[in-house]
Amino acid sequence: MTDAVAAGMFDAVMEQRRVSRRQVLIIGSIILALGLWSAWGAEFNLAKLAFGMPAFFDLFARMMPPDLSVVPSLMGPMIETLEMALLGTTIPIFFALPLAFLCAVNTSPYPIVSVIARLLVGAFRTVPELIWAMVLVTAVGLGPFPGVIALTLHSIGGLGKFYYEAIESTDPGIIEAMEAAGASRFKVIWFGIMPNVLPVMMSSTLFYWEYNNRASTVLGLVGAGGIGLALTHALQDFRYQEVITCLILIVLILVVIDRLSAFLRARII
Amino acid sequence: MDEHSNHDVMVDVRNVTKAYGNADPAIKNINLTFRKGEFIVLLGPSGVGKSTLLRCLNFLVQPTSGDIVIDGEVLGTLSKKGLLAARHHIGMIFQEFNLVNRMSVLMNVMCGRLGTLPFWRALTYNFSREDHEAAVRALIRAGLEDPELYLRRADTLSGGQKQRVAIARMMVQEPKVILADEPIASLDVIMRTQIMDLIRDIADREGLTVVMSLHQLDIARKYADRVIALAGGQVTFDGPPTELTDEVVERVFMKPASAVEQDLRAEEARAAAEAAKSSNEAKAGSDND
Repeated sequence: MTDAVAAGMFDAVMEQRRVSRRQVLIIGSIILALGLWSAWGAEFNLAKLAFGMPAFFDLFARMMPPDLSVVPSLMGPMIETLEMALLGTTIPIFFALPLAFLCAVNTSPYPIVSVIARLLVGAFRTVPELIWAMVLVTAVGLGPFPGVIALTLHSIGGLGKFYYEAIESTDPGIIEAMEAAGASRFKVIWFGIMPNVLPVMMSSTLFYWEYNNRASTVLGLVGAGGIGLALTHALQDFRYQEVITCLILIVLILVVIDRLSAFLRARII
Repeated sequence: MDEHSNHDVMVDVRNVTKAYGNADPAIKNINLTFRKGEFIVLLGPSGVGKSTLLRCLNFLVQPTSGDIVIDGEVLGTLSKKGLLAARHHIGMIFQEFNLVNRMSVLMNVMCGRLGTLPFWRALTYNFSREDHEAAVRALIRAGLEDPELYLRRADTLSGGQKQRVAIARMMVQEPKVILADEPIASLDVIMRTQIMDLIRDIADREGLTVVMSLHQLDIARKYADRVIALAGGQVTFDGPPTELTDEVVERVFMKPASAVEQDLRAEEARAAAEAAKSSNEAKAGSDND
């Protein structure tokens, strides 16, 4: 290689380096600017946090010791929360699965159906369950029932997306082989696609069960029953020793459920 | 055999054209007649419309114009249901085998019977005793005689075994015609001969018509009764393998015959490496189970 060629290549390398450095600088500046703008908008203030510390410790002191005598009376609401999560995860399966087959481009009868079904699933998923719950509590009244419906609606959106992505990942060759053997659309779905979808379905549904257990504790805050409602009441009545008991109970249960769900999901895959 | 006696015709391709969208047609005005028991190889490099023509034969790809007649049945005139029933008697095997990985070997084979499976049986994944018996017979016919294999998941098998399962799946359809899309392209050299011998043997004994797309010249020479080559979407050669002179080969593959030979050797080496890799993966897979 001649020196001239080597020099030319070196210049090209340096040019490449300059370009990529400039890109990093530009992107970094944009992220920094957005961060500062958000901090200003959200009144981010460490001094304020520091000033608040004495009040926080005071509150914490008033929570001590936890009032364990209320534990038996919290069992009912706690179980109600778990029931809400279980129903709010199992009911949506029956809606998410058919919707997913309409969403997936390889099983949807017409492309336009797929577009509409995706919009629907996206809308269900985008609205947080807390907002669904607020609306539903207003519509059907207080209690765990609106909570179940809120979890169901949000989970249809979440599960639907997991399901249709699994359907779309099916090898088109398998579908072709089934069609070539004279299988109807239903049989292609049932024999060619479901075996592929089932493990993903089970693991994403377990994931949502775990998520819904967390979500259902919060739903009580807007009046949708369960341990969250007990927590809200205790907080409103300044019964801080009861508040801490609720919090401890919630954390314990959620940790157990997280472990259980992780264990079951590991078994599937 | 009488060259053009009509009762002997199994597949009649009538002026078939297929265009995808507004592009130039993949195949143009194809007219062909395949006799009962004839072993036909569609020879040529990829992208000349072999795969499209093959898929037109069972209407997996619907021709833009023209029609297909299989054993007297005009596919274009059939209802949706009628077409599914007609496909039940047209077996098909593929380059990538197209088995359902997570299902057992036996279930995969019985999927060949989906065309006649009643709805309630399909819903509960409940194949009949006859279906099970037919599947076992077909597996033995396809050379898988070890019952230990039957309940294993399909993805634990080697490439050659997978193609045997796919052949068994096709056999339970009791086909009149076998369509084979590059059935040996994913196999190593030894497997290629075994699978080709098996298909040829099944076709000869049952008197079945075989239409197979291939790009391996030597295999076509060895097994075909009749070779058909496409170029630019039209038939450029149609005759017995003995007429495949160097001049014809050059026209079909658009390069000198010696270069075609070289490509074949290179591809065989690649296939051997691939097969070694995938059999290692299959082993790793079965270790995990």
